[in-house]
Amino acid sequence: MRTKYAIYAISIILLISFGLSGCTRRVEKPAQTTTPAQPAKSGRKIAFVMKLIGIPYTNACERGMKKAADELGIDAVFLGPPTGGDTIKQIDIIEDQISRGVDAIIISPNDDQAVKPVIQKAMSKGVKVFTWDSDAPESKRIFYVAAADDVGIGTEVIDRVAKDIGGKGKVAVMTGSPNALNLNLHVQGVEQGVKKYPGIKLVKPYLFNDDDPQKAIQLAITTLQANPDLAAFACVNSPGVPGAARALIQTGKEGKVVVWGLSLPSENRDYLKQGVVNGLTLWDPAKLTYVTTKLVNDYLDGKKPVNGMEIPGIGKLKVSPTGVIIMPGAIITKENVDQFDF
Amino acid sequence: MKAILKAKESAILILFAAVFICFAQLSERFATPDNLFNVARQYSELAVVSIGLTMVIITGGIDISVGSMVGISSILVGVLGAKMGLNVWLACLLAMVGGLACGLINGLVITKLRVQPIVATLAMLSAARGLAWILSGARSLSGFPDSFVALGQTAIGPMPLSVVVALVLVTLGIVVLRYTALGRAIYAVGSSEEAARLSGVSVFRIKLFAYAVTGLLCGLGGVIMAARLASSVPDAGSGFEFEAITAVVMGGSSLKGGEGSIIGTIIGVAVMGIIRNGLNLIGVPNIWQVLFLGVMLILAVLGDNLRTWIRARQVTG
Repeated sequence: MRTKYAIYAISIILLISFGLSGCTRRVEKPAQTTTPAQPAKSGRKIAFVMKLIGIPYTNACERGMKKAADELGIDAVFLGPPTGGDTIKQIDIIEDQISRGVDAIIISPNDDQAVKPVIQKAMSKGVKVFTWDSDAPESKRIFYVAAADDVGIGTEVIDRVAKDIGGKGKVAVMTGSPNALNLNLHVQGVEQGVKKYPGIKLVKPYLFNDDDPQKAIQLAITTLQANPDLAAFACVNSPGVPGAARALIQTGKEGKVVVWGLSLPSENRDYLKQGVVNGLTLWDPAKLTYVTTKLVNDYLDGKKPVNGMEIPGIGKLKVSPTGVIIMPGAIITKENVDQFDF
Repeated sequence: MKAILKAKESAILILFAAVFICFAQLSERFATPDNLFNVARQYSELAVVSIGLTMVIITGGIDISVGSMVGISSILVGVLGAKMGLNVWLACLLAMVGGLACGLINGLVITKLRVQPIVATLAMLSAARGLAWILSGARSLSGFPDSFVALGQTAIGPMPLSVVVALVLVTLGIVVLRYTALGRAIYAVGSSEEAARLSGVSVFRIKLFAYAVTGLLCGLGGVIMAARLASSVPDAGSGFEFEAITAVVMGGSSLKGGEGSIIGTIIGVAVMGIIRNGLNLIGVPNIWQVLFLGVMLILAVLGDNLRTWIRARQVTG
């Protein structure tokens, strides 16, 4: 009699488990992008592993990837840790994709040193590894796709700030994680560029927001309180600009402090129009990921990228001998912000 | 069959089997030895740490600083071994001593200063993590000698070395808890401190042992992680306390103390491992994984309650 209860109970547990697995199966469909009717390449699987997922920048990247994957008829997934700066979870995800047997993995590493062993492991198992958005130049990755010269874009930001503050004042530098190579190169660009303006002083320490929008706001507010005469924020990662903007609004200082940075027009449109943010320099992350997907697919077909090659709708690509590929970017201000849909 | 069902760990074992079968159906790469050993490798640090935490929880305490202790240990390996150029094996030993020291501090604060375990280990969580950030300058450290990096990748046969180490420690833990007087004393302290004290058990020594061992195992976990990643990351072990406690509770331990087993905990760790791995293999976005884990935890606890209820009804007729 009681054994019957036990059997019922166990069956319920099993049913719930299978039911949940049914849920995950339904969730699985939107994350994949193949349709069986596509051309012969539909067996190809690639995986993008971003520093994190769930912020506008990464959502835009994912859109670009899906567009290219649909056009090419390949299976592409966009993965990453749910929170910023999580090197270990990112490596675990990469290892799982190696296990999954994908043809290629494209990484934007949280830490360019820590990913070296896992990239080596992947390449030795026949999985081709590339980087995009942020590089791991000392690793065995095949090539790196960027949308700008990582150092040059930092210099661009400080140049724009300098123009708006008349070449003198205190400037706070906002960045993401201290280990992300692309961000460190942007900051290097800021440091190199600021030498031209002896009247500008960079506030130390730099603000590390770990790609967290909340942290960006808090750090900005603290800096404003510690430096009431702050002239500008120079932000090199995308949550930095809206974070600084919100902080200025909350402390009532909007319009009095200049804000320039790398961020998306879609998340800053209102701030630009209200004059809280002075301008953005960025590329379209969707286009960047779109181009990367196509270049990776070409490589898997045996076609290597060539310097000066033209991609329709994007422009000419610069390809360096060390495998760095750059596509053109844009300057966004309140005058032209509506032209951009990313 | 009846004996397995009656065992304490039956609920979590059934859950494990159900989840395993699901994922094996959903992804053809899941049930391959290559993949499963990979999961085992990724979770060997958590398994090692959970051994100590099981003992702490059985004594009726809790330790939420386990993640931070793994972090400080990992950073010590990096700072001493890579940055300062000490012999890397010496650095590992010192890192484990560091973990042990943290565990001893936890134990002493809880027993001698009579601070509540959650409060004491909360303080250690912040202190150890902060120290890890300060020592590392909030940057990851690498530049280990090749012998150390190779250790992280070696395997004995098909099994990664860290998995072998974890299995050895798990076996040791099971033997201690089940077959030694020390083990029985741990359960006694958890069931009733007064009764244990009156039977001549040194409650102070048992609790100190549990927290100290946890610290030492976290030290080992930090070393394993540094070898596996070939770098020391200051955020190493972040969130471990959540995962470890989930594994221990899933495995049938009661947070009130007096109940639990390492076998159950390890099955709990395995469940968490295959969930994360399985969801990654079928391409489910990582944001769903936390939800899935929460649901699994509830099912495990409900399953365990059900088992207790069934047994009670069997006894009373």
